[in-house]
Amino acid sequence: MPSVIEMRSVDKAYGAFKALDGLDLTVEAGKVAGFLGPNGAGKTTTIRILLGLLRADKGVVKVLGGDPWSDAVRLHRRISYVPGDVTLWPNLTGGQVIDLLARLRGKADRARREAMLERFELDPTKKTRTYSKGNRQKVALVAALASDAELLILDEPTSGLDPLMEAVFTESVREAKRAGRSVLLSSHILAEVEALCDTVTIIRKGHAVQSGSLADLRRLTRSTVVAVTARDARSLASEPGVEGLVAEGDKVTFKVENSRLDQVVRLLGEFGVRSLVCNPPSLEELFLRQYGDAPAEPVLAGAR
Amino acid sequence: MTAFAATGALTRFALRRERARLTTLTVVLVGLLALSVPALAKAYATAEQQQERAKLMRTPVGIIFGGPGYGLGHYTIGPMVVNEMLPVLVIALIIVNVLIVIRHTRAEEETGRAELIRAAAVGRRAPITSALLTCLAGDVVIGALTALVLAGGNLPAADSAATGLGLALTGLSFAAITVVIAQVTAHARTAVGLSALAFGGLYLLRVLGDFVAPGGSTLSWFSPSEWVFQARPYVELRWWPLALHAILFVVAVPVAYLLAAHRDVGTGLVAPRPGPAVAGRWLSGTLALHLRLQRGTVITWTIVAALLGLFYGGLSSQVSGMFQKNPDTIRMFGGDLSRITDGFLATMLVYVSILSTIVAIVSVTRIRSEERDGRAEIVLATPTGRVRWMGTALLTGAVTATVTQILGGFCLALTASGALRDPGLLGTLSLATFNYLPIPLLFAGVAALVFGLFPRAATALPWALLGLGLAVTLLSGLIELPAWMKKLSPFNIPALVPLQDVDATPLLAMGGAAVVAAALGLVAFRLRDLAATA
Repeated sequence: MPSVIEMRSVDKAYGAFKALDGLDLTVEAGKVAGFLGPNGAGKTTTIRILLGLLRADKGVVKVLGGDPWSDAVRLHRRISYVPGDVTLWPNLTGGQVIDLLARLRGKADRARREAMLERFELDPTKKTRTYSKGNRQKVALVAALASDAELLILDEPTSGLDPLMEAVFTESVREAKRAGRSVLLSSHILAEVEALCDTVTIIRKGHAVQSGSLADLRRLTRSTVVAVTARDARSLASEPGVEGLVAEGDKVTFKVENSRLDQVVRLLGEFGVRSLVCNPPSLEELFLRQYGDAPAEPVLAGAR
Repeated sequence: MTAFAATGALTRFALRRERARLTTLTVVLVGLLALSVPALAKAYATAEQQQERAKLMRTPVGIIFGGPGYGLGHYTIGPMVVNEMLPVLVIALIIVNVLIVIRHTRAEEETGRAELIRAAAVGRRAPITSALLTCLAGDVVIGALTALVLAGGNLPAADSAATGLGLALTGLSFAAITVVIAQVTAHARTAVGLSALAFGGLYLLRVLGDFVAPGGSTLSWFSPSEWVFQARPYVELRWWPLALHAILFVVAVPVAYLLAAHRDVGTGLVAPRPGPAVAGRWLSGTLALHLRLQRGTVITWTIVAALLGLFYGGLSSQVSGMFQKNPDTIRMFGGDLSRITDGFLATMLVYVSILSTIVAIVSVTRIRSEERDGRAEIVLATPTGRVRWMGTALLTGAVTATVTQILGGFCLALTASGALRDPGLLGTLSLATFNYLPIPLLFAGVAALVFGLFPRAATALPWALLGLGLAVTLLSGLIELPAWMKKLSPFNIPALVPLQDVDATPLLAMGGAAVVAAALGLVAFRLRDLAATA
């Protein structure tokens, strides 16, 4: 599968501060790629490099097969972008901004624009200075989603949206994927990434600490098992691959390495299973593991 | 009295927030006065010197920057302070009062901080009242110190007290006008703009009124900033004009309370109107965007340039009589006594070029705020090249500055040819205005270069250069400067057409420098990172 974004060993420094330190990032065509990391990890810097707004100090950067710095204008015909902190021209209305951006891109699809406005419940007649943060974000989202760009670059696009609008956003991204478009979605909302993304890259201090498909990442780690058994199952604690076993009455909770899951479930059967819940690691656990401050208590499944 | 609940606490809080600004202002204004009263007394020690100075105050410039001119017949230190120092204090105090009121009423509401305050046990009228009390505190201190400094400078005590009181009341009157204006619009910037417009309009009325008759005419009385001068301190003191301030205050403040009671927190009386849901056909491309963003600024400054042209053109027939015996002002207008009118008109075209330069700088420096606030990023993420984005901004600056220069020059030509009964002047001056066009273009080019090379200085440096140029030009009109120093100001480089003949060499040099600077700026911007704060 060809990749639409390819970054290898990219460095970027602002004076003495290293914003990116040997970053690798790949987005495959037609996939939704999650880009995770806390504030200050280098997500926005990466995106600005991909848009040719900043120049990488070192490394290889390819976007849609071209160099984002020297081919910026040509590449931007095929890219739509939603910034993390959307600032607009206070005297223009939302509708005017959407049209202006569409015209700067070249093609405007009137019907799509109206559909997106309706879907995001945005009033295009208001001056943008009267918009809340969420509404400014909607303006950028409507402009991006109404375009026919092959690649969508979205920088924390839902940080100002309410849960209803987040759902609308999720649906819109799925739709874009079905239409064969590729998406780079930077976020720190793990549930959103979990729901949408085919692959995930976790970035820390300008360096990708983990990347791959969500399934791959999960396979490498442990699942959480909660079981109610007829007989006391405490003895499982000594089984290889089992960790952090806690027993409360007839209930045991523990983590198990995925490679040992089959063996452990087999053993568990001998205690007379009355109820069994096995959760794959949440993204939150994956994420926190990378940042080394995983909570002492076992985190139960379903981030957020 | 629940409407005023917590006024005291809010006032103390406001004073706490203003303490640095108010202290600085007080020290600067009172210090300035304390230094200049003895300096004036020393510089104009004899009656002859004082009368010479009085002549200057009869000129248009004297009337614009001075006052109605009481006591010019017997121009001693007292009237001199009132005519020449008091206007500075009055203008400074008015500006500060306007800004304090806006900061503690409208700006608080706009940022949402007022919500936090009003959710507490705070009366509906408390914010307005505390803003006025804060102004009152500052005005009273500055007024009292002014009176003390004047009386301490061996000037009559009663007149000094009237001057101090009048100064404080003028500040307070504009605070009262501003609390009314602050109720009208939802945005602090608009409120400041409206207040500035109100003050500018009233000031213009005063100037016009003072032009009509020495000592001011009916027109002058419409402006509250005039009343302290009409009390005629040190000439024939009368207190009653100061009572007008009390009347204004008693009318304006209840109006503000009434308006405030009839609107919601955070909204204006004039609701922001919904705009078009769809962009007009014209709004496509970066040139259209830049022009749209500059619209308000350009219209404002173009009108100012046109008014300036019309006004001084109409005045041109009076000039030769006015300046005949005043060598100081003749240097300001080209230094040729026999052709003082041409010198005056040429200088007015230079003034027009100051305005067109402001338009050019506003246009070009705007791209820095677009970049800093992240709006450039949105545009540059579309298939819009950097050179196109910045180039169209430069084009916008050049075109709007040109329009301002041509219109200002044409308006000057129109009224000057009428006033001097010289139809040929219409064409001469309309063409002469092009002679000064390289000035705004040079500033635009330099601003572009700074933007490309030093984005952090891209707003401040061009304005600083304009300030420097203006200072040199102003100074060279007052004293004899060495030629090289004079030419440091771009405003002094073109020949003074129509007083002198057109000299193409410096014009081509300036134009060429502008183009080279702009091109280098474009290249530098193409090669550097976008520097946004976010």
